Amino acid sequence: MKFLSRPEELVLHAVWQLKEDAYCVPIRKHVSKLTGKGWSFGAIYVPLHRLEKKGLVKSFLDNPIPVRGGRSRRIYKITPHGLKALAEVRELHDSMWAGVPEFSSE
Amino acid sequence: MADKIRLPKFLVWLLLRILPEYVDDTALGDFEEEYNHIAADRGRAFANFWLSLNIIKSIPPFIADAIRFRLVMLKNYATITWRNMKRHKTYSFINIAGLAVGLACCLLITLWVLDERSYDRFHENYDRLYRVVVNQPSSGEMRKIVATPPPLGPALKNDFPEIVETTRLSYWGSVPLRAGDKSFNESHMVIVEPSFFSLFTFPFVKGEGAASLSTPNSALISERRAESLFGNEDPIGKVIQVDNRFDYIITGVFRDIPNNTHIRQFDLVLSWSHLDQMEWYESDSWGAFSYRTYVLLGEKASFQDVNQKITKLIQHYSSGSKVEILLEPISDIHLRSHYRLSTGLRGIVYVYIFSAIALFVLLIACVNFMNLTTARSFNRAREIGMRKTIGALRRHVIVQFFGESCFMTLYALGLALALIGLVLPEFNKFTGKQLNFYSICNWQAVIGLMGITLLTGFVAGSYPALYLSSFRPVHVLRKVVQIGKKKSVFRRALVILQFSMSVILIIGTLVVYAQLDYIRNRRIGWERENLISISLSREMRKSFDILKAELLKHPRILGLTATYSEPTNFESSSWGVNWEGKDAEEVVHVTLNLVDYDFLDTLNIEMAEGRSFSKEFSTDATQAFLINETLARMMETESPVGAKFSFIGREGQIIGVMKDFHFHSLRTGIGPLAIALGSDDYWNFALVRIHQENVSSTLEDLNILWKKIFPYSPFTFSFMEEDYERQYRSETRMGKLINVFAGLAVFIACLGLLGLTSFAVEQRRKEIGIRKVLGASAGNILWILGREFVLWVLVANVIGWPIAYFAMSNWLRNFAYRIGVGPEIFVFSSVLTLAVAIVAVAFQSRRAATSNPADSLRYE
Repeated sequence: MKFLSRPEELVLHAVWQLKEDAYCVPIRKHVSKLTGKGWSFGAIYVPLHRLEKKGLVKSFLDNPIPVRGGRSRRIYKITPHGLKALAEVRELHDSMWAGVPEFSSE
Repeated sequence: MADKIRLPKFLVWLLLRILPEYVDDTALGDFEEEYNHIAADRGRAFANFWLSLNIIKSIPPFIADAIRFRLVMLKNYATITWRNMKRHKTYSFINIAGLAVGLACCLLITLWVLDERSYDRFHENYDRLYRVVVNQPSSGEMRKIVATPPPLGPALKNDFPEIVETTRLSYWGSVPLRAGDKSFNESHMVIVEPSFFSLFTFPFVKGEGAASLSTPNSALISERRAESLFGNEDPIGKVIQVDNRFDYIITGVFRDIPNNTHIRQFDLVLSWSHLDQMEWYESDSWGAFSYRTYVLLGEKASFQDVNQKITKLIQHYSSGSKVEILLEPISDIHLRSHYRLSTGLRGIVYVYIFSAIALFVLLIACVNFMNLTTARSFNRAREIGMRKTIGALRRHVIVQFFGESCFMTLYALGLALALIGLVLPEFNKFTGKQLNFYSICNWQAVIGLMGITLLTGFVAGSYPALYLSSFRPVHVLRKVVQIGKKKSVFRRALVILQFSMSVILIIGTLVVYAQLDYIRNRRIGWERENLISISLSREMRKSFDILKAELLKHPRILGLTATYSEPTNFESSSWGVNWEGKDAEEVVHVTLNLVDYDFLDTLNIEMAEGRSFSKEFSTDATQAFLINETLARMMETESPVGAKFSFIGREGQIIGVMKDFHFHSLRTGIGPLAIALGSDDYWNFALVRIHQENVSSTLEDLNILWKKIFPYSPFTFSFMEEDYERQYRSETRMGKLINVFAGLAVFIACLGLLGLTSFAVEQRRKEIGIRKVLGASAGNILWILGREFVLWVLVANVIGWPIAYFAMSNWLRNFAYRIGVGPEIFVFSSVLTLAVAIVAVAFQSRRAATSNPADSLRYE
């Protein structure tokens, strides 16, 4: 299994969650909300590009709309490979924390 | 969404610059959408701010990604290069070994050149420091000297406001030194003014430093002298006795004088007031040219202006003098000065020669690389064709090959660094330098190293990259074109270039070697073998007669005499000479030496006319002169013997003419010389001729005798022959170095030839097979394979000859006594290169010529 980097993991998660509406603007919002800090577009494009090269997401162009200056949106969609990778990530996290007692403040 | 706002034009432009290629037009859309949201919520100004910030924040991820991406590419190139290297071991070895040796040479020479150029640049004020030099008119020419009279320094400081500070320096020969129970001859002593240490940056490790020099009887010593005299004890406050009569207290210890300064190593410093205790010292004599003077100019002073103002200063103070003085920048002294005791080649010439060699060697290595890579292009043509068919553009192939050559160079660099580490100690011994491998471990050096490597990789890879990338896949894959055969004109030119450079280097080496050999074996007019020189102190001079009588009793001591200066270098000279019938206007500068009676016999100097000094003539001691043939010719009389002659205040007549002999280094010619008898006050050296057998036991006996006569002074001596050789040490060193590097260059060129031949043989295997089937002999095959290379080497010789001839004649012009560049050197270099080429070719072709044709033809 090839590991995803943390930004890739977050972005992949966002694409999966946002379903039909997964393009850069909401992805950025989602990731920023999740992590509690502002992400630049650049920080989104790079992992997105990587994910696409790895075949975990695929993209297509939507109809152009005026609020984007007449430009299309590039909508991302998670592939079966992507879903598998996401599941593996989850599994990894679960097994990593399984049996570890709750962190207490003391 | 009626109030839709477009993005500011400038920011769009900026975005387009930074967005990587894989982010398409939709990205601008993303930015614009978010921009509109924010502008609607919080106003346009904030949106602009947000957008700018977001653009800036987007840059680092893009850069990081780009670097990561390139690294992946680099890794791929490295893998491919590595696989290629492993598949063709001989070829890779030749390529990399050649490059590594080339790089190592180049780097070593760079280290050397950097060290040469660092001389005297460590002084804090080096750009304002100058040495006073003197032009002394003498028999029609200018003598260029660096010795100045004592009142010059103070006068310069008084008369010219531009000169902030001056200092004087006096070097001393060997002086007896005693500290506690240790006694020896200190040969590294200087006398300076306190300002010396404020002009020059020689740091102190202990004590009060320079200030203490102004108090009388204080001395400074170097760290290593402190160690050798006092071990671990604190040297401050210790008393030393100089010249067996002056007591000095050590008040400071300075760090050992580094190598890269023109100032000779010194370990003991006395203050200027020491000179006042000398009977012969005249502090206001404008005629005693014996001291170095240095000046520090003010920050705003112009060197040229000051130079013009001071030119006539000595003439102003000392009427009748025609001497001119000038300033010389201190950083020029080591490499560029014309004012030196020795008149050999200026250092800068060697810097140029070696830089040229470094460039040559590296170029030859690069040419090898180009040659071998293009020659082998045949093997890789299909790979390139394949790449192009799958979609590689020409520029991808170009980048790949540049990458490959850069990687090869990097491998070579690693090897070169290891090589340097290995040979650096030897190199240091060779050059007398203290170069350090770690001196190249700073960031400038690393950048420089990378620069050289990349440049080498670039140059070496340029032709293969451009040539190989031009293949048309359809031709290559269908084998329409025999790649590597058609375009060999360029390769031929490269081999010829390579061998021309080798020829130039070989001829240069031979000429340098022959010239040095000529100098070393030239008849100099006196016998330097089995002659030892003992430096005499004041006390020894007084007992010289006893010494002479005692030593001459020894059966293996054949002769003994005393002299003012050693025959390798007669130091003193003057123009205060006059003879019967001399043109009063004519200025003649004559060298003078004062000697003991049997000087000529001990040195085996032959007489041309007249007689030598003799005790039978009582007037000889005060009135007799011997002159050399050169001076006799200048006198233009029928026979100079018996002519009236006056010199240095001594009136007398010439009693004989000596045959010309060399009393300076051979770089200069033989000048006019007069010698006269001196009293023991003048005898600085005793010269002893010993029997050639049992030299070591003779020396032991000498030591015992010496201890009997002078129990407090150590017996120190030197062989005249070694002193003589030492005069040519820099030439000998340089000669050896040039030999080594030229040898390496030829070696690398041969490696290249070896590679090329093996390639040619491989390519023509079938042809050779067919020829053999049809009845060609092994000799025929050798000739067919070799004739082309032989022709190339011949052409290279013809190109190299005139260049080498021109360069070497120029170099030889620096010597007063020199060899001619004869045809035999050219013939020899041709024969040598041809022989080497033939051996390389024959070595490779032999297998092809003797192989069974069935092996190479059975697949047809």
